[in-house]
Amino acid sequence: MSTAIETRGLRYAASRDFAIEDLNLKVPTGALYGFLGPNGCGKTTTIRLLLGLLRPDAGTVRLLGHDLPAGLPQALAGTGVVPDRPHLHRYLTVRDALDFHGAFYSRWDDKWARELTGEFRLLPDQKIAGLSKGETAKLMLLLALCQMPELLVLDEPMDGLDPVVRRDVLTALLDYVSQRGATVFVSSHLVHELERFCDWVGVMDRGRLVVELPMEEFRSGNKRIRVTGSPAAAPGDPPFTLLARETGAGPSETWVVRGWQPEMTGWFERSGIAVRDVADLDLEDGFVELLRAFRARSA
Amino acid sequence: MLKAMIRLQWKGCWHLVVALAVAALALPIVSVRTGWRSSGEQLPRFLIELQLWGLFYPALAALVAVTLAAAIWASDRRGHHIYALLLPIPRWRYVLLRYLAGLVLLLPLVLALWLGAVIATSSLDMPPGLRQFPHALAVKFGLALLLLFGLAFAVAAASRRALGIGMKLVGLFIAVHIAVILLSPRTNLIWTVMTALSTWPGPLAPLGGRWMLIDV
Repeated sequence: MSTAIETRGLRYAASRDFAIEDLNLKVPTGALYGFLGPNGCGKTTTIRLLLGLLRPDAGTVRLLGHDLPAGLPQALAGTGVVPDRPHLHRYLTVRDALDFHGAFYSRWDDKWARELTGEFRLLPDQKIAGLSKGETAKLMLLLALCQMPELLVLDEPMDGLDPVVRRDVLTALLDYVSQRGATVFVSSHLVHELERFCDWVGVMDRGRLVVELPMEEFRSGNKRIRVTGSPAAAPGDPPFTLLARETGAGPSETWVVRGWQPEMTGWFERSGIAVRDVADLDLEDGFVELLRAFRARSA
Repeated sequence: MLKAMIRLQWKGCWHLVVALAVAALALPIVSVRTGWRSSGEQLPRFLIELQLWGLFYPALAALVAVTLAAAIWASDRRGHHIYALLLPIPRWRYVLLRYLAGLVLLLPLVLALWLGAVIATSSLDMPPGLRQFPHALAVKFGLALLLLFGLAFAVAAASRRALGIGMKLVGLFIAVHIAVILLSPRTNLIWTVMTALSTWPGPLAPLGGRWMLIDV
């Protein structure tokens, strides 16, 4: 499997209290990779490390086959970025910003940039300083797309946008990906936002990668199982990951598990535990339980 | 890329460039007119007046260099340089592009001063024994701008760490100067260094000497 982004043993101390620890990310080429995590978990810091904006204390970053920092310009030539905050020159007009940006990219598609300006309902002569939040987000995406990148890195691109703008942005992004087969690495703290279009997911918490797996696996393997007659400690090694155990009324208990397969009920029977009910956990609940279990283990 | 950078900087600084160009155009004209009038048309007094006005040329060059260098980097600084750092070119190349585009913006200012100097000297019936130096003055102004802009640009482009090191070196130099004065009161280290820097072949030499548009 070829990778668009790969980190090995990445470490970066952002402050005394917070550090990215031993981060091993593998973003497959062509994947729509959702980078999930609560606010302040290190998503933006990780993205800055991936883009060479920060220099890691240890570890390596490989972006589109180029080792950083030596191959940074080559890697950035194929990477479209929408940062967490817009950093454009505010005195430029939309057209000036397109012209300036396009001058640095050999594959810049000026014709498409003009078309997309119209589709996004941006006025070419409007100053960037006067753009609304939604218009700025559209312009940032437009700049990233029209450089025809192989990889798009988007840091919370939908944050604070209204549903109409969100749909515009998402449609343009998915159109591009379906036509060009580009890799997308998109961060968010909102699970349902990524659920709809990502096929891979990486979950980050407190500077560490909690899990990295295909979205389908993440979505289907999370279950809430109601059992009775369970002993105080789970017997042996269960064939799934036990995220949480909650005591219910009477002898019943609720187990939250990841990596569940229907044939695993046999393990319960062999352990003398009766399975009463197996329910799908929605993605957000799965995400919350995953973080809760990770934090309990870390503590 | 350079064309795009020049366009970017022009968009960001054109108000400043136009205002400074007006000042550069006006300075020689005002100096000659005012100097001639206030000297009572007496040549020795006129030359003294022009010599005093001459102090404004390096001052204008310094003003241009500092304000333009600051304006050039202001937008990048406001965005924590993130936009620039995400462009697919090495960092040194981005700085070089910024610098070269800055030099292009200096050209209209030198031209404005040259034009002002030509207008000022051609509008005056030159008294016998005096010579005019509009071209030499413009060249000197250009060299001074080049030098000061280079310095101001380096400071404006420097990281906090580099600026910190620079400040520490200046502090160390002042400490050494004080120590030398205490040991040998007749030795003035600052004066010695400034003289060495500002006289030929020192790097600040274009700022020294006489800034005379009209002289004997």
